[in-house]
Amino acid sequence: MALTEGNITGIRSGRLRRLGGALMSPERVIAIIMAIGLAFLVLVPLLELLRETLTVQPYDKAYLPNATEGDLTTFHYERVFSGRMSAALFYKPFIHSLITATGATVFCLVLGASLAWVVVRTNVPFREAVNTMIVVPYMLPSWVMALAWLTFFKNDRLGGSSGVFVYLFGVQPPDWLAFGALPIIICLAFHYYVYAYLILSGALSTVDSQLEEAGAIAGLSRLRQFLSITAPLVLPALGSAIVMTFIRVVGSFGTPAVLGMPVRYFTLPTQIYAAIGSRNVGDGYLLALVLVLMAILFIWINQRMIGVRKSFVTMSGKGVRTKTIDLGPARWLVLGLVVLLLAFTVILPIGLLLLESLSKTAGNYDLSNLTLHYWIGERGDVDAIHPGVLHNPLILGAAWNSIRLAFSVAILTGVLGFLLGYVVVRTRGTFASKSLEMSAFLPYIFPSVAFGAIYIGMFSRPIGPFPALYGTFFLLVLISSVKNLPYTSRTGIAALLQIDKSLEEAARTQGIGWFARVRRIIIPLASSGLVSGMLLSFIGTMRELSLIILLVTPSTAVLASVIYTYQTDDVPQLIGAATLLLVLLVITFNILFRLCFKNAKLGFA
Amino acid sequence: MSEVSLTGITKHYGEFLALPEMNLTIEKGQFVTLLGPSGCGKTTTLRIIAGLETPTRGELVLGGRTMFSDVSHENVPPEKRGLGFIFQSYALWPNMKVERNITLALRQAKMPAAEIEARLEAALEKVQLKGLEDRFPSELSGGQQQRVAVGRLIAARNEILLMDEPLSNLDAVLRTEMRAELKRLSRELGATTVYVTHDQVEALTMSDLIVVMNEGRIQQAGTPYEIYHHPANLFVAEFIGDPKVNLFDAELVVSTTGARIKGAGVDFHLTQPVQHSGGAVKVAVRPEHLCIHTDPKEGAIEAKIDVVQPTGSQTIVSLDMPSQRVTALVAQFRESWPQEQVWIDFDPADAMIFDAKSGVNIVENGQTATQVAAE
Ligand SMILES: Nc1ncnc2c1ncn2[C@@H]1O[C@H](COP(=O)(O)OP(=O)(O)O)[C@@H](O)[C@H]1O
Ligand SMILES: [Mg+2]
Repeated sequence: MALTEGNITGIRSGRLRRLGGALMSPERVIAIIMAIGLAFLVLVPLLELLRETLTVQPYDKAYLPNATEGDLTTFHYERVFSGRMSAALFYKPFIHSLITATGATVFCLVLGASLAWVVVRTNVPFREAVNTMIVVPYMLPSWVMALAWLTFFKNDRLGGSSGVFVYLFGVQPPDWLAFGALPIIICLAFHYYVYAYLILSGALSTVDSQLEEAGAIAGLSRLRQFLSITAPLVLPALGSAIVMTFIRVVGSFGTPAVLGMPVRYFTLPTQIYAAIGSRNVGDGYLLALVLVLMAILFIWINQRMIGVRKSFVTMSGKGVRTKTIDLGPARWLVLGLVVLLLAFTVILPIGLLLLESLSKTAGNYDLSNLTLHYWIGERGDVDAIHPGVLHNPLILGAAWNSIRLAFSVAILTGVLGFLLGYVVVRTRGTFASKSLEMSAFLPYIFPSVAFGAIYIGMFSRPIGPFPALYGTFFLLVLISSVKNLPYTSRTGIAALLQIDKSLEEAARTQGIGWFARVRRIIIPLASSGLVSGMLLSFIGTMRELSLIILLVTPSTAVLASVIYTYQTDDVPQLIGAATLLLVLLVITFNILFRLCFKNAKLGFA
Repeated sequence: MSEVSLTGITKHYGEFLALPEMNLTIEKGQFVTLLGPSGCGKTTTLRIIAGLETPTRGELVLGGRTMFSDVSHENVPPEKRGLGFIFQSYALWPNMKVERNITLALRQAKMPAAEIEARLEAALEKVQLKGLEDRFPSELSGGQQQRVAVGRLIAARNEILLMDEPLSNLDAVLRTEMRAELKRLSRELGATTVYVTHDQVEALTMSDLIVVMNEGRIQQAGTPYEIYHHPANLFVAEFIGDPKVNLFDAELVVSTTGARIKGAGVDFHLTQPVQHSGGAVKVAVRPEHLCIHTDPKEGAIEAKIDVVQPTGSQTIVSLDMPSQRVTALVAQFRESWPQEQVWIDFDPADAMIFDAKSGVNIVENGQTATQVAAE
């Protein structure tokens, strides 16, 4: 239809009015305000970080006697990238990060993709149970596996007690087996494969078998069906899985800290931690910037190659019919392998930590050496310095902090998720909607440790009317909630998208006002989706270490960070007990949540 | 006084022009159907009336009150317009029981409890859902869900009812039943109804006035009789009628003795006055106006019987002519014809003539047709 002159002016005046209308509509106002707020919480810290790397820090005085604090300088860039120290400060950790992250990502994808195929496309027995088993490692903190690994393979390299391996075989395991790249890759992979699994199985189960059947009718061979129908449909999900796994893994602190730092095998996150720990913040921030750039580069490459706007796919597979392949008797073998996987990733580590927590002297696993001291004992009985976890004010306080933190974050997540979802969905297609969705996505590109570093940079001194937040509990709540936003907003949007617009319109035409509509119709319908999102942030926050390790202080310590600091004390029993306490808390709250909200499905963050 | 009036209503979606300048007036108590193929802007028009879409330009007046105007910058939000709306998907709130679905608006309006109770009772009675008020929408069949949506409308007692293809999700039997129900409902409530459909049977059976739309433009607004017998243009002629109207290419020759149509197989003098100076035209004849003869007849065209489809009271016959294929509708049950070769003709008075280029109906619409409809 040709546009006449009159039509064009019509469009223009329509635009003007729409612009005018945009100022009126409450949804759009909320959207703009939220977008600005979110950008502030993400972009400003990033700029702040950049600025700090370019200015003289108190620590640098020793090297730059003539400079005053706050002067512009390229000192950090020179030292980190080309100075005498650059190999130790940057190049080695960078290479180590690349090796471990790439290795773990490849491992995760192979494992996750195979498992996804098995669950979605084969007739493996007890499919539901298998699905649950595969996801269980996600419930545990990522470094539990690393602690268990150390419990088993610890050698005399560090002094102190040795592990189960030495106890059983009487020989010291070699260093490459106890520490460094190989164990880090294995431990990371056996935790983070869950992401690849969930993304790929979600994508695979949305591929309707009828599409392939139509291909078969059109004369395509099995292989061609896979190559020209299934694979292109799953490809964007594969890209997302790679990006998501890589960013998570490369920003992961706990595992390389446990298995690398003792032998000075640093990765970028542990190097950042070490630098900031020794007050050398300028270098630490610069390394964090490198991590962020790596993540952005990765996302960019993925988008260039796959050409999707968002690098994660919707996980909510509707009930499309998928046809399964008959594995024959091999299906029992496959089931056996999955059970073995669960044993290796969950049962064995927990068993090892339990055993550790019950031994009187570390490294001795005789029956006669068993004790409950590290659980319920008072100080002075078996161990003169460390009481059991249930009498240990430090651990109990940290546990309480963990719970408080996880609850606050879950609540905030629920509120933000609802607001984001409502506003984005209801203003769909407008600039406000897009910018809000974009801002909520931004924290995704920051590896956890780098994000923590960014937040120290920003909140260690007062900003305008706000006091310095460093060292406060609120800062932990803030950073955890913000880092969760990409998932929060996605759950919120998904929950709101399910509510057909006509439900609200039907109420509008009947004269029901905005508040009544939201309260009576929207919130009740969105709640089940939101609750599952809240449960996920609760679990995620309970076990989070990388994000907050740089931000906790003795008074705000959480269980995960306390466990990490016990590493240096060489009391493996207490580490085992405290870790199990954390695992127990996660499982208990998980069950409680599920009992309270029976119909909330397990989503995924 | 008109109850619904759209003046110069225009709607853009971005650069896309969904409605170019719509003008439409609906009298109080009328049952008006917006009819047209999918994507022609029916839903958009209805949603503009309801206030769920904001037009780019124009003025909308409902019951004497200006609801939208680009001049006075008025835009009454949908919740203040006091309309009834049945959505194609029914839009029942899945988290509320039937009872609450019907009464939520009344409760929000702070109506006295006794009044709400009475209205609920009356509505349930009318839509025969008594005893089901404690069910959730997901526990109802499609037909019952549809009746809840109707019940919601009855309880609210609005002056203007808007319905967007309310029957399209029902099976054929229920659809026929509910068609009568909705027509009765509209009459009993004395409400002005705007009904959207792409189904011509619904439009013809239910409406006082049919508005045929195509690509956002009103092609014709008229009574079902006018729309069927005097379509304003070729589009309307072809869109209305099942089986479709038969078209013949012909030449119109106007002379002092009168107008004459000449074409492949058609050759007759026009009895009706036309507004045309002669040239290429299209002659349209409804299938039921084609007569099939088993013997040659003066002026009749040779044709061959192709397919015979009895539908009960009528039989659809496809015939092959040398240059084209035509369809006839015979008012009896036939499974076959004794011979393949037949002759067809029609009464020239039943022929509709359209300008071949513009598609406009060139036969002057004598008032007789409207009078028939009004009687
Ligand atoms: N929200 C929208 N954005 C863009 N185009 C739309 C939107 N809603 C409808 N349209 C377009 O406007 C035209 C009319 O749509 P609609 O009124 O829904 O047609 P129908 O007659 O089938 O009810 C269609 O071409 C449709 O694609
Ligand atoms: Mg429609």
